[in-house]
Formats: sequence, structure tokens, C-alpha cells
Amino acid sequence: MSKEIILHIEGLRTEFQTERGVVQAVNDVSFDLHQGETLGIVGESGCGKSVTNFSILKLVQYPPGRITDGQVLYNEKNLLECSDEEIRTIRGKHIAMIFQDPLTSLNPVIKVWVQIAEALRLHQGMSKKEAKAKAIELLKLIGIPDAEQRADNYPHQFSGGMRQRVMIAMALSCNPDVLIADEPTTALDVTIQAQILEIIKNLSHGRKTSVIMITHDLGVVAEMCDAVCVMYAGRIVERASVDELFYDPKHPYSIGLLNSIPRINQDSDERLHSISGAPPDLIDLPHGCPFRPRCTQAMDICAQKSPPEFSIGGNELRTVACWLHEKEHSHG
Amino acid sequence: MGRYVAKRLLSLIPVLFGVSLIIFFLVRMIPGTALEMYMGTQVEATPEQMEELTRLFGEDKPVFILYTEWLGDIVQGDFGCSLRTGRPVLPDIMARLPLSMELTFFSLFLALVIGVPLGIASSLHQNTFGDFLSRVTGLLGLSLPQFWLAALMVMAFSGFRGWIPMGNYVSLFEDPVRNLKMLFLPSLSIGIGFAAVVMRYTRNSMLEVLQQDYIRTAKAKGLKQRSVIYTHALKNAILPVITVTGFNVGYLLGGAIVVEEVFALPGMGRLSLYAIYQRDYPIIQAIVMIIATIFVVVNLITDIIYALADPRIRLDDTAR
Repeated sequence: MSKEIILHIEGLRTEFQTERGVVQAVNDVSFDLHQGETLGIVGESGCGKSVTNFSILKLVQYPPGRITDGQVLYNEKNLLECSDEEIRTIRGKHIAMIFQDPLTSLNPVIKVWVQIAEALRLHQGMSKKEAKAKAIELLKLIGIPDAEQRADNYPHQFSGGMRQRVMIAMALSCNPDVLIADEPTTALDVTIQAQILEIIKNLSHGRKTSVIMITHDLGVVAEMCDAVCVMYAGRIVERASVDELFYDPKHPYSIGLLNSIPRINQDSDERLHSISGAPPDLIDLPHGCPFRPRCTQAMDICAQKSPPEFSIGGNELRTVACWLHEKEHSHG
Repeated sequence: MGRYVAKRLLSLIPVLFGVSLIIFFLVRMIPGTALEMYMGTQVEATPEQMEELTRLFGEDKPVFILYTEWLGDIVQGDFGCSLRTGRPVLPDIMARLPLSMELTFFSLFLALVIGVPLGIASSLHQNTFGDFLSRVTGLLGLSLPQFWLAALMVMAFSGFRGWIPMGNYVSLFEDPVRNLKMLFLPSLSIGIGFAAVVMRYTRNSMLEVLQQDYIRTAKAKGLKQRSVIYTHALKNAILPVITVTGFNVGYLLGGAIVVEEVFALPGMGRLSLYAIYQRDYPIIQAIVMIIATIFVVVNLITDIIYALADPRIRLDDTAR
């Protein structure tokens, strides 16, 4: 994995001001996205996966949200220091996003071709006519039947899966370097999910687009990703290649996640495994390791100090933030 | 669409029937009949003369008979004659209707022109001093009675004769500039309260829309702040404003009638006021019927505009 790094995120911190106090949604997150790679970011709801990615494009709403620290390097430029003007030339053109719920993410009162054409006209300077032709072409490409007629429809006239295809067409219209897909299949039927993943896979591979796939579905990770970051309570607790994560998970949280997937060969009277307890309150994080209160293997040190990320076997792309693996790190 | 409009226009019939019933009996419940008001207290008449007058004023028949006769007449487009002047009422009303309508729509226009941009600005600078100021001013505009504002404006501006003409009214077609100048202050005093309503609706609606996922999508595309606000947000945020505008045209028309009196404008307001003083039943009844019709038609137009602005609304149920 010595491909060129296209997006370098380091020490990212994003917090939200609430009436109860400051929510540390993203707490010192660093990762690299390589050229042509599909990187999965996995974790429970509220672990900071989406906020991390909104932060990359400075789409966190202020107030209440605020990026307090870190850098996002794209083409040697720190996006977090960009002016509004500069970041707009990146958004949609170089880094595009697909959102979770395609019904609420498309504007209900604007025709779909207009919504697709907007980015084309803005970033590629197309005329209205050219942009419409290109939008129809994109709709055909993602498998919308009767694209010419359907282009004039409004989002509510499409099914959920079709709407998500429109979102994909919109995101890929300007051939971005990076596609951030925020739970793109969560709101869809299982049968449609596979089709949507297939489209994202084919189109991104064809265009050499790197993808960040945010999901809580380990099935999606197995299907789509090359590498994975597991997030918990605003931090990355483990990073690994897909095979490493599935065959040799290190962090107790990752192990818990993998065990909670029902298996086809499981006895029907065997209880499903779940991680006991609930995710911690991000306003009032427990001292030390945030996973400690739910961890079956917690030690004394876990309550005292938050574990740094230990690399396993000297591989900086294989890390785990858990005191159990301190030795592997030092010996490796 | 055609079917829908036809259906809505058909619904005018029961509405107008109900209005006709209410207004016919309501005006006759005001103490003092038309004849008594005509005679006053000073005039003496012989019993023969009184009998003749009672017949002329139609007070010799039971009120139900009068109602059915009147209803039969208006179905044929005959609104009867004034009890005072003896002239047919419809031409008199139609001569004054344009001024009242112009006042109504001018005040509506001012309300929207003031309210919508202020509402947008207020939502974009939420909780700043400007937002606070425009909200408080809006509340003030909402609380001040129209007639009082009107009276205040007459007093304040009657000195500026050259700038805002007072006095003899000219119609829009005779001298548009002078007409609009004349109607500016009356329209402003009618519209300012509604401008406050529009501003608050626009602000709240914008604040809600700006939180929506599709606004984030628009930003993620790299659109400029201006396109995000005017293309993506406003198109959605304006929908509740359209609804509230439709409802309020009737109230603006009511305001016009009061404010006409203050500015001495020869609209329907003065006509109806004097008709009520004199118990000139045919005039009152005709005016109320016309206003009810306008109200229904304006609401129909509002619904059509709403359907045009929001593609999710279908007026025809045939498409279902």
C-alpha cells in the first residue's frame, strides 16, 4: 500500500456547543486516504463518523459546531484554513459527498436535472443546454430508465433507490478525486442496497476516485472497502485492512462489533452477542479509555490514561488504541 | 387544473348562499329601519304618506318574502336600487371597487416587499442585534392599529404637499404617478402590520429550511451562499408565506375600508360606512356579497400559486 496519499487528515477536533456543555464529537482523529482506495469508517450512531467527514469540507454548521484543531491536507493545501471562496472551489469539484437519506438530501422543489446540472455549470462552466445534456447522460449511466423524461421530474416522483442514484450522479458529475459516501445505503431496502453499492464501486473504480465509505454496517465494509477505521466516542480505536479487521481484530470494541453480527451457521437457540452498556456521554467522557466501562478486559491503567494508537508489527496502517496491545507495539 | 378550478368556483354557490342569508338578516337586526333613518325625528307625515313610504322601502312585506325576492333578483344579476338615491347599486359599487382593490394589492405588495427581505436577512443573522431590532419593530408594526397609523401619517405628512399629494383623488389610469403617490401612505398604513407577519413567517420558515439536509447538499456541491439561499432555501421557505398571504388578503381589504375613511379616499369603505349609517340595505348586501366572492377567488388563486410553487402538491385528484 504505497500509493500516493490524496487526503491527509491530522489531529482533527470538532466540538458542538450545547446547553449541557461542550460535546467532543471528533477528538484527535487522523487518517490518510490513498489514491483509488476505498476507506471504510465504521462505528455506532453518534461516534463521530459523519461529523469527521463534514469537517473535511467545512460543512459543520457553526454555531453550534466548530472545528477547533487539526488539518485536512488536499493537494498540499489545508482545507480548514481555506476561505469560504476557496473551499467552494473544492466542494463538489474535487471532493464530493453522498448523503444518507436521499429524500431529504434532494431539494423537493427543484427538478432533478437542474440539481445535477448546478455543479456542472458552476465548476465546468457549461451552458444550461450542455449541462442538461450531461445530466441526462449521467442519469442514463446510473441506470435511470427514460432518462430524458425523468430528468424533468422532481425528487418525490422517484423511488428511494432511484433518488440515491440521482445523488450519486450529482456527486460524480464533475469527476471528483474523492467521494465521501455517508451511509449511502442505510435508508434503502436491502435489495436496493446491493445495486447502489455496485454503482458506487463501478463508477469510482472507473474514474479512479478514492472513496470514504461511512457506515455502521460491517457487511458494506466487507463488500466495498480496502481499509477500515473503527471509530468509538469520537476517536479512531483501530485501523486495519479489511482482511485484518475481519480475521484478526485487536481492539475489544472491534471484536465486540464483529461478534454481534449474526452468522448463518449459528444455532437458532443461541443468543445474539451484544456489547453491554451504552456509548459514553460525549460531554462527560470517562477518564482514561472511553471504552473502559464496557470493556470485559479492562485493566487499572485503562482508567488512568487514555491509550495512544499503538502500531502492530511496525505497520503504521495497522494500529490499535488499547493498552492490551502496548507490548506488541514496543516489541514490533 | 381546469377541473379543479371549475370545482372550486362551483363551491362559490353554497358559500355565497350562506353569506347572503347571514348578511340579509344581520343588517336588519341593527336597531332602526331604513325608513326611520330616512324620516329622522323632525319630519311629520300623514298616515297615507307613511303607508306609501313603507311600501317604497319594502317594509310592508315579511322579511322572508323580501329575502326570496332579493335572492331571485341577484341570481339574475340585479342587486337592486339604493333606498336613498334610488339609483341601481351595482354601478355605484363598481365605480369604487377598483380603488379599494388597488389599495389592497398595493398594501399587499408593500407588505411582501418589506417583509420577505427583512425576514431573510433576519434569519441569516439570527440572534444578532439587527435580527433583534427587526423582530421588535415587526412586533410593533403588528400591534399598531391600522386606523391609528393612518391618522398619524396624515398628520405627519400632510405638510409635504409637493411630495405626497393629498386631496382630490385621481385614478390609476388618469395619472398613474400621482395615483401611486397618493395611495402610498394609505397602503403603507394598511400593509405595515401584514409586513410584520410576512417578516416573521419568512424568518421562521427560512430558519427551518436552512437546517434541512438539502441545504447541506447544495453547499457540498460548492454553490455560492447566494445560490444556496435564493435558489435552494427561499423556494422552500416561501411556501408558508404564500398560504398566509392568501388568508390575509381579506383582512387587508377590510383594512382598506377603514383607512379609506381616514385618508378621505372615495372607495368602497366610505360607501359601505354611509350605507350602514343610513341602513341602505341593498348597498350593504351587495358589497358583502362582492367581498365574499373576492375572498373565495383570492383563496383559489393562492392555492393555484401554491401548487405551481410546490411540485409535490397536485390540484387535480384525477391523476391519483
